[in-house]
Amino acid sequence: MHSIEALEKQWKRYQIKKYFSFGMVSAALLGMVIAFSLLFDSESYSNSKELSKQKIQTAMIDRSKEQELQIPRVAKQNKNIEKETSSVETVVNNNIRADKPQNTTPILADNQPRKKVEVDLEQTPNMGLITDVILRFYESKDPNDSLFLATSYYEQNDYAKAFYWAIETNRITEDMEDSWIIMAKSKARMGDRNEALRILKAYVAKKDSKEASNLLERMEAKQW
Amino acid sequence: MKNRFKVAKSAFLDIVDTHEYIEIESANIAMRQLKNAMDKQFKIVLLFGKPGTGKSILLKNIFEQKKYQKEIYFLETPAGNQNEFLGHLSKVFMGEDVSADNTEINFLDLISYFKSIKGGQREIIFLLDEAQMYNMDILEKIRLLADTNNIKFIMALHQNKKEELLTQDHFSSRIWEKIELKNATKAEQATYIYKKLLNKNLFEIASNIQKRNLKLIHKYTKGNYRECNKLMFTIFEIYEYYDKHEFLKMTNINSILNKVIEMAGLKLGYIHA
Repeated sequence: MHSIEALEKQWKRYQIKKYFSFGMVSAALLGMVIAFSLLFDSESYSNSKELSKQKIQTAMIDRSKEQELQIPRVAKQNKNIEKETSSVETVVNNNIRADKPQNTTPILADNQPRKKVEVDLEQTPNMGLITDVILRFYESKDPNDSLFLATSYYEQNDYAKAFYWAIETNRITEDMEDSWIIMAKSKARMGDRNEALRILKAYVAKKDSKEASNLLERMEAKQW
Repeated sequence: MKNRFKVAKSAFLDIVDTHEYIEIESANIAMRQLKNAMDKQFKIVLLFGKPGTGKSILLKNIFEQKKYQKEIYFLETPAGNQNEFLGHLSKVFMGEDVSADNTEINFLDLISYFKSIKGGQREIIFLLDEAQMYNMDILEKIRLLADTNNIKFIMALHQNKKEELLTQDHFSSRIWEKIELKNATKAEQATYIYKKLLNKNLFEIASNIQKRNLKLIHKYTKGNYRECNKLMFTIFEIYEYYDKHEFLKMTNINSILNKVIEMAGLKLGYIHA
């Protein structure tokens, strides 16, 4: 039975082959499931636009009272920030507040933005996903979710919405670089380059960000 | 003390020994069918199935059970040619095999002899194993002899040959009963393995064979008894080696049994690395 050692080696090769095959099959199945679920989501979105719209409306209505309560609190927080942070940051916050009535922040002004958000979302191509993230954000207040929304809207050239969600992100944390950059870029895209520069300067003063510095330089040189 | 795995290995030697016969439900049914058929007026009974389904052991077993009750002859090895076959038959009525002396056997004389036997005087039964190896000339002789109504044939043959015979009307009309043996089910194979081990008083080994092991064995052998014997033999051959040379690996028999089954499967070509 000197062949037992050889048989053991053969068995080890068989095990590797067996588990490799199993892994391949599992990966293929997982891929199929993901592809199918994405396809299903896309189809279900297109087939149920009205349903999604209603869903958002319902969610917005459900959230309205809560938001009404949040608005004064947020405004108060902004005032505190203005007092406690540097003058540059104050400029940024003031500008943000000043922009709200003009763009996407009527939430703070007159409780009207829900209607506007609803219409805009309906036009976006990934509405199903965005809606889910919006709803999730209202529950979790996760800055990653709001930053995702800001990025998504910016990529869809919806700069007002992008700016809105970047502000939402900054309200939760001011340490997310991408949020500041989207905020500045959105402002610039909307034609307010001076405000964009102020935002970038504020962030560069706060954090030594290479990306923000580069963007600031390019904006100042009118290369962006 | 004899190595327990060596004993276990010997339990699965592929030999047709009636003392090693394991009673399985499906085999018992086939046995009852055969016994019933033997008590009836018939000419030819076909016992067929794939190789390794237990035809030979069943035939031998029924021979052992009936040899003192009936005039029964068991041709375990098929005759190589027609003369050799007729020689076996001549031995029945002449008491000696004249084919060994190269004497030409007159088939018509044989027919006349069997026809001359009055009803009830003699009841001759021939059990022919591996009947698929008989050529058509011999099969024709068998048919003519069966027509004398004084000699009966129980022929064990492979599935394919049975199909070939049944396509011939003149032959199939003389076949009174067809008994098929199939591969064992999972439960039957488990019984077979356990009984084989328990017959050798290997209680510990038998109790260590788990359901998952039996499942794997059945997967490899598809319930074929011969394949099962081969696999079990190889499994215990590997265990015997481990037991002798690498004892530490044997401390937990349960944990490595499937590995050993797979190793045996690799060796026998059921699976490939």
